[in-house]
Amino acid sequence: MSLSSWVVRPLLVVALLLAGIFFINGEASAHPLGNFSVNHYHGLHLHPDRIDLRSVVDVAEIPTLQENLKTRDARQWCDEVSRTDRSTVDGRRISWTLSSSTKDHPLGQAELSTTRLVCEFTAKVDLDRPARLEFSDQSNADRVGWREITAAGTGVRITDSPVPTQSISDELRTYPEDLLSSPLDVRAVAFTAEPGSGSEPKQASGSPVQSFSVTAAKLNDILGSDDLTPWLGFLALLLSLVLGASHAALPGHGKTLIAAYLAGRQGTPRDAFIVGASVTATHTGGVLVLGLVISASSALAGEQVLRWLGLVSGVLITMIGVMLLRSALSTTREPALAGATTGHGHGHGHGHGHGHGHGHGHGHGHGYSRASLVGMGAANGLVPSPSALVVLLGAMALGRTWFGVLLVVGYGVGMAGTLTAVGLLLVKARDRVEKILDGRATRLLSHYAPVGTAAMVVVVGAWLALQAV
Amino acid sequence: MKYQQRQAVAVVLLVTAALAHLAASGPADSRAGGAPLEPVVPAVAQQNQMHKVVHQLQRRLHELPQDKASWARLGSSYVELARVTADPAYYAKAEGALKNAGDTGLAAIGMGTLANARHDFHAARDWALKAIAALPSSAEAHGVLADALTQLGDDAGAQEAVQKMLDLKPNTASFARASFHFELHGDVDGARDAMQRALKSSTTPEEIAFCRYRLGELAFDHNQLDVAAGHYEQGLAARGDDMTLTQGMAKVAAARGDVPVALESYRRLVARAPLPQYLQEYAEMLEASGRTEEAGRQYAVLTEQQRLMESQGASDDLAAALVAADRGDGMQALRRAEAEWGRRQSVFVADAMAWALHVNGRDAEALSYSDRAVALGWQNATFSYHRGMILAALGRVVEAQEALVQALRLNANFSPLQALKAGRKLAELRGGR
Repeated sequence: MSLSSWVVRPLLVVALLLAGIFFINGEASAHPLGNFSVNHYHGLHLHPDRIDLRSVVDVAEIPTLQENLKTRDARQWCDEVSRTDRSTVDGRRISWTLSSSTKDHPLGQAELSTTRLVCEFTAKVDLDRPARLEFSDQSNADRVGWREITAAGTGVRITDSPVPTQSISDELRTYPEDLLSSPLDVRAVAFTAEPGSGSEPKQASGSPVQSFSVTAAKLNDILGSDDLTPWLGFLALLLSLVLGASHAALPGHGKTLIAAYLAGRQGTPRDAFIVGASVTATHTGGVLVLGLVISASSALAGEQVLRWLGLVSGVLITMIGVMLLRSALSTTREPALAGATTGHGHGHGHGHGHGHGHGHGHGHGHGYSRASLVGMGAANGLVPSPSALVVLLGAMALGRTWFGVLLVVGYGVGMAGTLTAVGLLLVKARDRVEKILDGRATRLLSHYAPVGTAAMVVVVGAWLALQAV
Repeated sequence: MKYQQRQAVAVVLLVTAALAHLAASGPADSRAGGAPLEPVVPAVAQQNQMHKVVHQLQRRLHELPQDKASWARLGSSYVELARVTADPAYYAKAEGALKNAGDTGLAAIGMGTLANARHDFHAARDWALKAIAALPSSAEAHGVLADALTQLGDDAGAQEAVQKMLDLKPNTASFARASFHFELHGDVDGARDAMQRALKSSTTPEEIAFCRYRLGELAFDHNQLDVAAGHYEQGLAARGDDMTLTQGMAKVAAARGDVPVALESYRRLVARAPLPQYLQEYAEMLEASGRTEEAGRQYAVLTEQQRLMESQGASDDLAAALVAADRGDGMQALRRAEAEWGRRQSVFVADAMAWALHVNGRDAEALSYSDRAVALGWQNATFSYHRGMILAALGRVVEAQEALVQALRLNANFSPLQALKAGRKLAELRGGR
């Protein structure tokens, strides 16, 4: 996928986004690394009895044309790739067996094709005792391009490896746009391998983010399998549910926000369901539209879109927060005056700050908060999860678009499950707390909590928006 | 008291939850592949002086992201890397780095260099003036101005800027610009001397390679094949992977009749850097040696390359006009040439206008542009060839012969294909008399 920088008119994006349409405009460079780059990635995965190698070649528009790559046979090409590699274990050359080869031509700029070749190799090697491994890529030595190698082990521990266990470019899909790093240029690695653990293809921390991307990888494996049986399809759907649920369990999904809101307002279990459903609907729709747009035009950068969506989401949350604050303040004022004197100054100060807003006369009842619940859910679902997007794009590339759509829906349902569960938990917890507390405290809490939580919604929204800028 | 404590606990919990959210929200999943990158030592950092400098600056800025001077230096180094490696990925990085460098003279120099590299000469001039206002005694700022004014056709201004640069800092950069100025005014010896002095004060392999290439070009453009080859070879000894020098050697091979070697060099050159210039030269060489079909493929790649550049808003109208005119596409040639002439009126564009008008049969107008192209006195074989063809079309046979003879006398190998046409036309004119 050739994703790159693009220019948008922010206001239009906001306006059209709400209508569910994306507007793309402006100059785009075809390939983040220039439209004549040839980029190479080699992922070594060591097992006690074998080494797997995934080699990816991402070719930009011009070389695709120059070398007539559309007519090139993927199998033969992969064989050539393995011939230009030099791989040795303790000085002995190992020979790779090609297990699969795929080639596709994502559309690049000016309706020109780019090329993506993926070769899977395997080699029988006994790694049940310490061994020295060397690998170098000598293909296209003078072509401009990104060159990356990773090395990981399952049941094999890798020591003194100069390369990471995971690709920083997502195997040549998204090239990091870091001003302080030159395009990666790693052509050779050497390291020692011995039986053990700690070099798994995820980072050693074992955080949920990692194990969850393993699940995503598994999902992509199923997607890419040659014959997709109903059983495998069912398994994939199940995986996407788990993936969605665990994705929603990660930080960054406004759960604190929804939780705080539900706890602060007189949230009911029904409210929790509304939030969950609205997150799911927005997220699923967002991923589908974004997937379609990205696959239709490579001039669009996924990363950039996500940033814009982050901004829109932040702004929306802030707006909702401000509205909540207003309604909370106007309902809090009188009871606050009648109640505890400590709250007086506080409520009054805010009252002045937003005084001009009271004249609008919108209703403060449950209907209003339900609309803002839906809005908050939508704002939270607006930023599509990259892994759902990758799954969808993968399915499209394989010509299994409908299956991909199904998986994305499954993903959304999984997300909704987690969010609703969290919401329900909080509503119940609040009931408990209210039972424990009595009289004055409960009154205080139910009077001031809305102001506090609304203020927090504003702060969180503003923060999200600022982060995206 | 009890209640207040509980209340306090509740507040603390809420605040903690909010902070946790703030700390964790966003980056984890709202930005694809957004993991912060540690600077990875590229393999080439050990080989190349310039990569080394860039790597040091990158590391420094990781520690001290506020250091604006380093951002400016890094941006300028990225522009230079883009030129040396022909990897346009560095242009975007350069722009990003220079934007971090703030509103300083150094940053303006970098932006001006970048604008020149992207052929946005008006912007380059403005940046240079800004840089000079901030740093009046910066030779580099005057260098940016000299480059921009030369391309914009402001000859007097360019001369002044070059002189100022030489006064401030007589180094490789200023001697090289002086050399080009002499060459444009037909002073070949002066150009050669200045370039030799530039070579003497050069220190890095990149500078040496550049000086050798320019000296080689001066020789090649005046029919001194062996001298040219000598310079190219010595340049390659300093910097073995230099593309300009490889192209120089390929031209020499073709001129000496060693076509297979020349074609192989070009094949590798366009594989490595499919720049429009190299694609065109390769295609012409294939066409001149009768390999029309392969030439057609290269022309097709060239067309797509230009379309691609145009769709990125980075089209080079001057080069595109000349390619179109050489291939007989009069409409396209004139459209492109006029677009460029609207932006700048230098001798380079005047020649393109003349040639495009000639291809459209408008030779009387063409001649007036040709007059402007040769006004500075530049001894350029291609200009002379264009002028000769225009004069021939106007029926001014004697002058046409003079111009064509001049072209071939200057450089019988100025273009594998056009030199053939020049010779044929000359024979035709002589036969007709």
